[in-house]
Amino acid sequence: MMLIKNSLLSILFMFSVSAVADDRLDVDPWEGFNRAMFSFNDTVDRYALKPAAQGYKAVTPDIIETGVSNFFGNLSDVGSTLNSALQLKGEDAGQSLARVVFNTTIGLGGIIDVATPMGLPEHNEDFGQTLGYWGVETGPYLVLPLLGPSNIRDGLGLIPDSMVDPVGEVDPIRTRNQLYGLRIIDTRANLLAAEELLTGDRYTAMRDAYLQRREFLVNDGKVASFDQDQF
Amino acid sequence: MKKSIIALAVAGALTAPMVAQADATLYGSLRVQIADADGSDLDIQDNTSRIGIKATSELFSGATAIAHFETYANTESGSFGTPNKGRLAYVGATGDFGTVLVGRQWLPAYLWTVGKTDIMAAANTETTHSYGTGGRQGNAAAYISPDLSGLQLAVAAVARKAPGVDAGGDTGADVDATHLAATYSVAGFGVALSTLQYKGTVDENINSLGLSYSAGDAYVALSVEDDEVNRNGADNVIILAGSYALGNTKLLASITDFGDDASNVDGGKRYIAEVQQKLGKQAFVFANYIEANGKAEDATNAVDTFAVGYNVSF
Repeated sequence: MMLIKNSLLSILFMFSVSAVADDRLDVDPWEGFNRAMFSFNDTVDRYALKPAAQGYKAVTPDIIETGVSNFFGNLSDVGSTLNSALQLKGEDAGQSLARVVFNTTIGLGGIIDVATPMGLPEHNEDFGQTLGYWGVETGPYLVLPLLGPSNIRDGLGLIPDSMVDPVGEVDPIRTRNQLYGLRIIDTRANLLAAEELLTGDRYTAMRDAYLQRREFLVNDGKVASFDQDQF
Repeated sequence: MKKSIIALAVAGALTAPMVAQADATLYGSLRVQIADADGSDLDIQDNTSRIGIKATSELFSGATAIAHFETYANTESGSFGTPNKGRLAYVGATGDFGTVLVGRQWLPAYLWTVGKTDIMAAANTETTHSYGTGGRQGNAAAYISPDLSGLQLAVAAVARKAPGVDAGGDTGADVDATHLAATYSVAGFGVALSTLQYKGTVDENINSLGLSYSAGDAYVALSVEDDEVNRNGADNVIILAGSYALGNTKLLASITDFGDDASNVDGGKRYIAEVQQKLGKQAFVFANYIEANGKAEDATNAVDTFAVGYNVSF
């Protein structure tokens, strides 16, 4: 009797392991390439980005850091306005537009986020989410060089996102590049705390975190399906 | 015991004047904006702030007596009004028969027609309409009918002993006017017609039409004004305006076609976009942008302007 029970458990375990492996294959069929690219990005991050971000955090007063983050957040609200409209979210589009207007004017060019306390919540929308809203599948998981975790859908979405990025309109080019650089450091600095949460295989942890985060954003925080039997 | 007596005395002293003033309401709206107009310096300016008192009292007949006074409260100078100019000062009565008002008042010529498209918070968007000759009128008596299943009619007369009107540059004697207006509204749709006919030295009319439709949070309106008093021989001014409320956020936009002037010179077009954000029941901020095309600028009908303002009412 005991033997039969153990055999059944073994079979069940084998099926469950096989299902996990299949799921992984479904979302990450290019794992070999992605791991290589992840390793490259990780090296760049370890020797360049992370030290720069740590240095930036160390020497910059918190109030300046907040101002810089607010400034770039205000610029990203431009894309959120457009993408909310493309997702037929009229209220979100209006609120994002109002955020840009008030943060740019009363908020001194976006350095101060006056919109949030005024009752205008931030709506983080990009073109990848817009494609997701209209039913475009994510496609395989993809680690982009320097840009990091993505997928086919979101990777393609970066092209229109860059076209509506106000930083791209800055002239002269030197100032534009300085802004790009500052934004990268600001983004990386904001991820330093989150990085502490990654444990085990960093590649797998980052991939799963990215996929869950994107699903969360596309569904606006709503769980698409919940299977109680899994618990 | 002594404390109770003192408390009663204080309460009595406070209550007596409150009872006496129970039918009067002090209200106001202080409005300041920062405006950057093309060709002008940045200006922190007043945005038509006003303070007023409204009072009502019962008449023996069962009707209600009305008294209303409102004047400018200039946030630049800190003074009331502007020289020789206030806003409203009238008395009247209202009841089943309708409303009769005498004194300086809003005429339906503005309220029912062009007022439908005057929806922006920035006062410098209100340049198409002469408030002096077609809006608030002193020396006026008006009768406004009760609501007759959505229809309201108005008749008014402006009778001045003194010469001249508030604006327009005419200073001749005996500048009087008669006014007829009608408005009808049903199921969110509204239509209004008005004619304001000046007699005497100024022998011209101001005719206007207003259409509006509101459905839920959306509002759209069209006004057409033929102002022969201030724009004699010129085309009608046409304004299309709309707004959409998203909770505490409201988006507004309008297009103005100034038409040709009396010399057949195109007065150009003006585009306005505004966003308002309520900060509370009585306070909101707004940002407004006016884009005037070249012809509108040449004709001095409009100028590119960006303004951010803050309104607090009470």
